[in-house]
Amino acid sequence: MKTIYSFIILFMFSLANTSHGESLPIKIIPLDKSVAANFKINDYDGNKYELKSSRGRWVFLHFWASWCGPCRREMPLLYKLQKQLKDKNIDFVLVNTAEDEDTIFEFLGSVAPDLHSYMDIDGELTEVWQPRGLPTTFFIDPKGRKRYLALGGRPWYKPEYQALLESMLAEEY
Amino acid sequence: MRITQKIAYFLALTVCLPTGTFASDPSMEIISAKGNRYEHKLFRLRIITRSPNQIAAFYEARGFPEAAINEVRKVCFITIGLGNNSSQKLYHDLSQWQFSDKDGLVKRILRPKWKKRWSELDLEKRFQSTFRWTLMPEKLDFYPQEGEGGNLIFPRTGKPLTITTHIRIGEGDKISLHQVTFKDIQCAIDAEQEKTPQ
Repeated sequence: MKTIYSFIILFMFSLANTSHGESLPIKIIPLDKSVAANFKINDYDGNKYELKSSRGRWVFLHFWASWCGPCRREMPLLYKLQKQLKDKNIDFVLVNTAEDEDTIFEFLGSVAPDLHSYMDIDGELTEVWQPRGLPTTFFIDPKGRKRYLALGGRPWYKPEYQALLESMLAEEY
Repeated sequence: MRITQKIAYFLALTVCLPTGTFASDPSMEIISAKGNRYEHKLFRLRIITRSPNQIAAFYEARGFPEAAINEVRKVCFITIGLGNNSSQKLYHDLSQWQFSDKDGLVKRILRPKWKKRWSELDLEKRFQSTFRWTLMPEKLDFYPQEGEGGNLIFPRTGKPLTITTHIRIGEGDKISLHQVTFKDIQCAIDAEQEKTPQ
């Protein structure tokens, strides 16, 4: 009996110690926590964004293009996610890869009109970040470190992804 | 075996076998795919041929200029989809794949050649970037369940292609090697061309 109790206690203890880093949802890859290089980028209205301005906040850095099927499918989910997390400590930074403002404007207008994207006009920022394909999302933590990579479009509404986001946002800095 | 014989044997093997470790590995699973899709419990492969009109429409819709559209119309685009169904890493390396027709090996038109051509045409960087992102990655280690795709580009010869893919999954003593061959892959032509007697 004593052995069973010990086993249960050990099991509970191991569960309590399981961070999201050890039980990540499918296609979420932990990164090496290296500090992300700063970059500057503009949106189609000429507004500037600089990565270092998000220090102290999480960054959802998402590379996409209108011609990529999974990007098209994921956009409405991203819009919902952004709305859901609007009061949380996270910045959504969408980066369109090498398309012009008319294409971006027309595309977002048809799938997620309130979603905002920056423009990597020449595709140079995308080359630096080397997403494995499009879409790809990088999570950068409040210390500016690359923490996770999300491969392709993800079903962000599913409990396991929601749990990951919750757990990330609950981290103390 | 004398040392000179050993060296000669080794040299003969080196010369005769295709590059890489795949061709000589006896544990490799050899698969001949029927049609242009293959689903294995560890991976999935799909091959789609694109007609000049399809390719032109795709790049035209992205705003590519006419000179670039004319270039992509001349060649044969084959879109590859590769996915990792396993719980281990899948190692993809296009240099381990082989492309041939009835006359022998066929060479792909590689990225440096496109870069040169686009530079000659003074193609804007954004179009060059989009073009690069639509190509199949040359080398990529696929995470479990990851899938990626992209185009391979060949000269348009009219001869059916045989595509032999090589896939490695896992590491250490858990490696599995797979060779999947797709035969009779014909570069797609436009519908109006199909109707016109050649």
